[in-house]
Amino acid sequence: MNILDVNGLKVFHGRAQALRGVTFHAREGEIVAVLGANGAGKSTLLGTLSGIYAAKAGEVYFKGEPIIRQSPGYIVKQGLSLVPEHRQIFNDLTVQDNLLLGAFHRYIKDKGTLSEDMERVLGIFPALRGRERQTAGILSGGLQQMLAIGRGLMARPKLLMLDEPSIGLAPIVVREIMEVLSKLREDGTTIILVEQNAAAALRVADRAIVIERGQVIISGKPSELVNDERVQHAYLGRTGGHAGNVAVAFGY
Amino acid sequence: MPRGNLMKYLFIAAAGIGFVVLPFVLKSNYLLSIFIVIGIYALVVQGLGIIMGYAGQVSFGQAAFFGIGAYAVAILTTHYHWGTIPALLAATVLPSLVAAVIGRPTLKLKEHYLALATLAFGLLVHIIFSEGGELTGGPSGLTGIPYLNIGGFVFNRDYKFYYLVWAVVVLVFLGVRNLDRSRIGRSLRAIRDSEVAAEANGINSAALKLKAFVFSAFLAGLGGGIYAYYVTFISPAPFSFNISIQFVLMAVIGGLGTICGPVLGVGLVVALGEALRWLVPLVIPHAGGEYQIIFFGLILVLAMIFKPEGLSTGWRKITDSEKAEETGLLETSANT
Repeated sequence: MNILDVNGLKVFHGRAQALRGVTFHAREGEIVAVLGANGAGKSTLLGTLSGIYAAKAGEVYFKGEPIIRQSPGYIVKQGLSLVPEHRQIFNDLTVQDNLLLGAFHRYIKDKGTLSEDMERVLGIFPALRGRERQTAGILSGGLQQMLAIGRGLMARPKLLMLDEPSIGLAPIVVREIMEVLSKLREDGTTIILVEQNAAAALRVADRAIVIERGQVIISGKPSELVNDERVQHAYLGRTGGHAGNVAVAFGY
Repeated sequence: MPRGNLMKYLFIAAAGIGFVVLPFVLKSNYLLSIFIVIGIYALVVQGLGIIMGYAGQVSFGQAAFFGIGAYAVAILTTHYHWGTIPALLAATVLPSLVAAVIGRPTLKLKEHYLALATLAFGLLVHIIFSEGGELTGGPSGLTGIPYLNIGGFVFNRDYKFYYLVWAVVVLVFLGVRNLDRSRIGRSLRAIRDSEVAAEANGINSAALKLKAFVFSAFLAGLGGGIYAYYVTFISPAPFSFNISIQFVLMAVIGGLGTICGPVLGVGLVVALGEALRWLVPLVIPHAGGEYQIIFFGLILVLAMIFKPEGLSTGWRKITDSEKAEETGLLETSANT
């Protein structure tokens, strides 16, 4: 069953068209990697799905319900959470407050389950344990990313979207985070993973799509994508075209 | 930290006793009136502190809300003979409503544009006060505001007013402290840190900023209403743009995003203003009020250099980072 269906999504930033009719889907319990170069529209896609940007045209169905043009608050409540680009943790707040804010929409309703959920997040990211009262801004980049993901999980999402969680992190931390994503999938959470680090993303993903200039140009299994000429051209920049020339110039 | 707590409670107790006995110790009404003004301004700046310190927005319209509250009391009591409670209620409700209306479009503005919009609003309101004809009394203002009267108890002496004002300040202080620790306070600080992430977590930042703005106007109006009752006559001058800047100065010097900051900032700026009024003519004869502005500028620059986070944060920040270092938990933020 598809947990998310996106049809012909068009989004503008002012007069510039960022998405030119994006169509894709995510099945329940899988990891979908979204690949693409800088400016391809990946972050715009996630921002639109979570209600931060308004779409000009297109349809988005989450669990069969239309969620397009709904407020971010409503969408989070339905179970679709975003871990935004560059972590965007609340620097001046404590780790605990950051996590509690992740549960903003159900803070009053189920106050009792909050500590339980916090415990679950600390179980997933043991490195955060013991730092609950620290100011989030002083944490290392890796811990901040874990905190950002933990904050997203506090909303109890059915579908978690991550925008470049590996950016600026050491390879060992990236591996740790990718392992956590696999574990979350086993627990039944669907994941959409936007990444520049294609190699890392393709290792954990069940399926992947490649976005170029606001459109999905390829979709398929990671094994198919790794060897696809067009992926190499569009994204990895290894063969042909302008990017290929650059690659050749650098001795590839 | 039991020892730290003990010190804290001792300090609070000492400050409390100090405030209660102050009117008996002070022989001059002049000094008492300064403390009353500090209390009134503290209400106004506490409001500004919420919108600036928690929501991270700069407003140059606080004196206008202060003025709307004051004029509400003045007009309703002199023209329409309203009682204290309904007049004070109007003094808080009216600025809140105005804030709700102008906040809707202006809070969407990013960065410095909100400051400009509130600046324009402040100037506009000031013009309305001066050109309001009989209703506002024009440039000379309104006189004959009756004494504040709650259930037959008349606040006709400065010391009575002193207790009333500071009781209100303490109540507001406790209210803001609660807000600071609540879900709303946390959400406001989250918006200040990252609006995108706050939205992504389902915080409606526009609605929350509007609430903060309305609450800040509410406190300004409360201060304005009490002010009108205290001075019993008002003119447009104390609600001008310069005063708005002073409020911002007080909030910044005291420390943004802290609950003690507003009172400290107001105390310092008012005390300094009074001191300069005595001192400057001794050094430079025939010096006008402009010299005060030079000194305020100097103080603001010094504060920005040596205490950019405000007076009230210095102590806490030091102890926090020390604690972190002791336990070896302070990490340099790699790769950011």
